[in-house]
Amino acid sequence: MQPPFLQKLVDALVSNRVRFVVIGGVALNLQGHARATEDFDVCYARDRENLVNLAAALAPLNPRLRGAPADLPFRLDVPTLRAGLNFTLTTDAGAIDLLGDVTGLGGYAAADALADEFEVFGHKLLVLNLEGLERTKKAAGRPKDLVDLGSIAELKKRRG
Amino acid sequence: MKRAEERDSFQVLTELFARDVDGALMDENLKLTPEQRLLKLEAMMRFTEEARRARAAAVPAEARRRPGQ
Repeated sequence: MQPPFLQKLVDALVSNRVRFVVIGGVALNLQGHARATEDFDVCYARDRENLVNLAAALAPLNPRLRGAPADLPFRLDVPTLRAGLNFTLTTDAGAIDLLGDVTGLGGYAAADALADEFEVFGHKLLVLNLEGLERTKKAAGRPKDLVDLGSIAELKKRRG
Repeated sequence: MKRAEERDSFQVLTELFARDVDGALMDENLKLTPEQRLLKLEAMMRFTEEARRARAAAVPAEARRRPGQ
């Protein structure tokens, strides 16, 4: 049986020692709010070693730009990662968004400072905490973010 | 002053949306381990994808367009 696609992505990143924080809808689910999402959002560290590891982690999963024409040449390597910042990708394991900078939060160091550690699929994952999620949702301000803010407020109440 | 007003409007909207949260479902979800929460999310995603595929197979593309498209 195929492992679940989130597990494939997590395994690929962790086994290649990529430094990242889970953010977005998956983080919200991990923190306790069940809601649909279609991609795996991570905030990644921008140092050279991490970019090398990130490119190596995703290479076997055939990453390509989401929504771009199929014949558009694209290679996710260190120069590409250095030249860009935020990437929305499709891979053979599912959709993943790589964010070097998160609106309302900042880069990896800021996300790491607001992360909780969760044990998932045998790995320790850094997951953006409720305060961090609240900041990103307020900054984005889309209708779905307002709905999420309501849920975050309820989760906070339950945690006391 | 403007920032204070912005904070207030966020507060109002958050409280408004918080009223619609199903607390019982949230409590059930909080009883799960983080891994169980992810597996539940994946099951939801698989269901959505399967429903999309089934619709695409069953309904011609022309009929899938919404009025005005």
